Amino acid sequence: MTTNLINLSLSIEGMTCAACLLHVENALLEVPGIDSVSVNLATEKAVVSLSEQVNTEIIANSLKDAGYGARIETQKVVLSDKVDVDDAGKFIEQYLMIDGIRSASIEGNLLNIENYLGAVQNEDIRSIANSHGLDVIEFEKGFDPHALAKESESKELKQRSFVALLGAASVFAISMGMVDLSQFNIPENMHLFTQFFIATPIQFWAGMSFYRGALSAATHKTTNMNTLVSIGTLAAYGYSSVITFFPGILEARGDELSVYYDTSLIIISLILLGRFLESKARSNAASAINSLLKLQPKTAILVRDKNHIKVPIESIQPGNLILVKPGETIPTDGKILTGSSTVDESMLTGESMPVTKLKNSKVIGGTINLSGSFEFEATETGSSTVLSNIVKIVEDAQSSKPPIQLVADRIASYFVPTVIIVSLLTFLFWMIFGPQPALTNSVLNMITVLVIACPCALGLAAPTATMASTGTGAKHGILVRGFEALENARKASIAIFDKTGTLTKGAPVVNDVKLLGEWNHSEVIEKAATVEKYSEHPLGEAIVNYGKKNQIQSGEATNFLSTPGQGVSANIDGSEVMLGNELFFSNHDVTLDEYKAIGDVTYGDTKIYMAINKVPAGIIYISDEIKPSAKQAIEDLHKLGISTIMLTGDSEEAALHVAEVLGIDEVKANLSPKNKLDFIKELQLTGVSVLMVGDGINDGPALVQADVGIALGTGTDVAIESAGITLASNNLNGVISALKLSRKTIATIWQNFFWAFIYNILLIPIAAGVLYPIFSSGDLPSMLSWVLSEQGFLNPVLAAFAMAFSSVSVVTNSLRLTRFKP
Amino acid sequence: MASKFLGFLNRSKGAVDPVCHMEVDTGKPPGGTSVHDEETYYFCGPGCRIAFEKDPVSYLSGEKRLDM
Repeated sequence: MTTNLINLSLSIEGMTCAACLLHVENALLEVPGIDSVSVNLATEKAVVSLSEQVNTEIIANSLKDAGYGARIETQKVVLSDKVDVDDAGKFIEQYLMIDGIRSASIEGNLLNIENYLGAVQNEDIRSIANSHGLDVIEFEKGFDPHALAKESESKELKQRSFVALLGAASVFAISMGMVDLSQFNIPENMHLFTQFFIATPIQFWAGMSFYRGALSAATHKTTNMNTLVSIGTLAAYGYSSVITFFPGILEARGDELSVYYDTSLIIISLILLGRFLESKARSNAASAINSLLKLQPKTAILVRDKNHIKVPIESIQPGNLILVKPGETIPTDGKILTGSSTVDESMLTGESMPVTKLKNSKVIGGTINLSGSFEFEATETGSSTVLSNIVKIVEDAQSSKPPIQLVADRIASYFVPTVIIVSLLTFLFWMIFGPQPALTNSVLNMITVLVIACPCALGLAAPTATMASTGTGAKHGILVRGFEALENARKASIAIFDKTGTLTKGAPVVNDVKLLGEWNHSEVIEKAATVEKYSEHPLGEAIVNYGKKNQIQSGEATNFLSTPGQGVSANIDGSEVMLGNELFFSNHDVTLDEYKAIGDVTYGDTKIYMAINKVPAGIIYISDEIKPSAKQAIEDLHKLGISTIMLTGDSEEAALHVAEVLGIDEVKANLSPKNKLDFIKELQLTGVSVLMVGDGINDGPALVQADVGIALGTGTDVAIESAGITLASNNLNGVISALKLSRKTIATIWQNFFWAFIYNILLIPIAAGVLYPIFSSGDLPSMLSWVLSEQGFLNPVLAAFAMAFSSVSVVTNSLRLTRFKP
Repeated sequence: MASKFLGFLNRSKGAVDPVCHMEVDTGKPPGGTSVHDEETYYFCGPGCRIAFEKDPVSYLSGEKRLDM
């Protein structure tokens, strides 16, 4: 019994780990009618095979019950004309009948559709429009799951930090006497209460994330930044509230009423601000799929019964015959049936020279067809193409990267216990040795220590440096996509380079010319360039350019003939000139002995033999030109103590040659994208931090896996999306600059940590009461009365100043990064 | 009280998801938390949490478990 299986694809929300994958699979398999399921964590897609029609709503509900959701997208479909009023009702009805579409409405020539993401094909939408005599001009998709989630998190942080800042400013103004509350008819004895009423809601609304975080950390016996902030702010708030409601306590000590509401709010707002900045600077797990889509043409020419039909790419099926013209991107994987050409496959395989394609040659979707036209039979389409598989590997690698634990949290986990110990010691000291009222003094001092110890600038240390660094980097052509890239760049001890397009320019260039026979250099080049002028082959182009560079005028030729994969020939003033490879020459009965007699000077070059009237005239050596900046870059890396390795998809000969010229330590050739990835993985297992520079699609997986991936701006989109750093230009010096920038950035961050703590740490002894013995007799010099209370105890104003100074120091220090020079 | 205090000095970080038995960061559990019998449990993803809430006893006793 054969069942007709329909495939339905959905975008699943909420999957965070491998276990989620299983839950989703189970939930889907429970739905009757679903035969099999394939879920991908990295792409967040689930593809189900249905043996019967199943309402998508039912599937969505099953997912919801398990704790996940099928994403919904809104689309604006632009039609070629307004929908007829009479037609509109039926129009909408037909769309609603499509499974997966939840709602549809019409506005003039715009069709608004809400559907499950992935469940509805453009084809289906188009066909209904067509049946009403309308064409679809454009699909405007409005939904990007990752970006939306990040945006709402950012927005929330922004709101909270600004409200907290506002609250902090108001309370500060009040407590410093800058705002006179009596102006608002608030009696003197209510002034503290005013602060209380303003501070309380803000403190708990804005600060709630800290308290929750601290609680959960505590129940699992850890402390992190949340704990630090919670202790500081709650101590400040608690103390202040007690003073507000029971002023008698302080009076017993002879102190004036001093509260810390503003200190607490300042801490909260600054740490929230830091988190907001962080969320904006955090790297976006980029979607390599977008770059894939950009690479593919939207339409292709289908050949059916000798007719050429333009069809959308999505509708190509295996077995279809497709026509490709010169300069076009090949739409999908296949096998050539008629015609021939040369194809640039460098971004996919790393091969530096254009590849000749003849009948039965395989072609790869996404590569660029250069000179000829051909018809090929599609063999793989959609997600099973070579290109899609590489992208899949990239996405898998991206999703398996663990997030980096914040350094600030680690520092906090050491700092908090220390502070708690100090505060307890303070308490004990004053209980045992202190003057009366001992308990009051002990508690007050202990709390003061807790308050002053909280370094609010800690949350600003990393984000401000990162922002300054990425801003500066951008000005110098170093585009950084995330803090992790900078941090790891500094630690890298091995630098890996792709060859084609990275170390080399990726374009063939004439390296050398060896003469045979009686013609001199100029004559040989003149004739070669003249013939190749008529050729569309990139190797021919290289020869023409060489002629121009040497200022050799080319003439006219007749009877130009091109034999793909072999060579070209033409007639110049009665002489027959031939240029080509061994095969070409042996097919035309030209003996090769003289050519072979010349030893290879530089190996790895492509050799073009030349003959005039079947007499050997010379050999032209062509290779991929090495970038001028490459040698210096490799040298500089060696000076920094970093070893270099080349990984390439090109042949070993070409690779070894380039490596030798540049002084690269190790070479691995003929590698597939997965080979490159695995190589890096193995290195990392030995504990080394790896930096990778690449430009091609075939570098994508390796760039993701590397601790630092650097893509060249001139490279493919997939490479750029996979890498953490992109160099705007072609110049490899950018690699050294990026390294220098990252080292400076990390240094700045550690300096910032110092500044964040130093003021607070210096004030801890004062908070603990060490100045008491000096001032206990009540002889406080008037100058100091501003910052110290009567008996030498800490005044909250000092706490506020410590916060301010440390924040200003951190920000100023970070701004120093803007003076970076590569 | 002393053990709780010393606990602060102990820097172990993870909780174990009772359904899939993966380690979960207690600071920011991706699947949220659930309280059962006054104990808080942490989850790696929403699926595990929902599964747990439907039948906490079976997962805690080890009778049920997500086969990874």
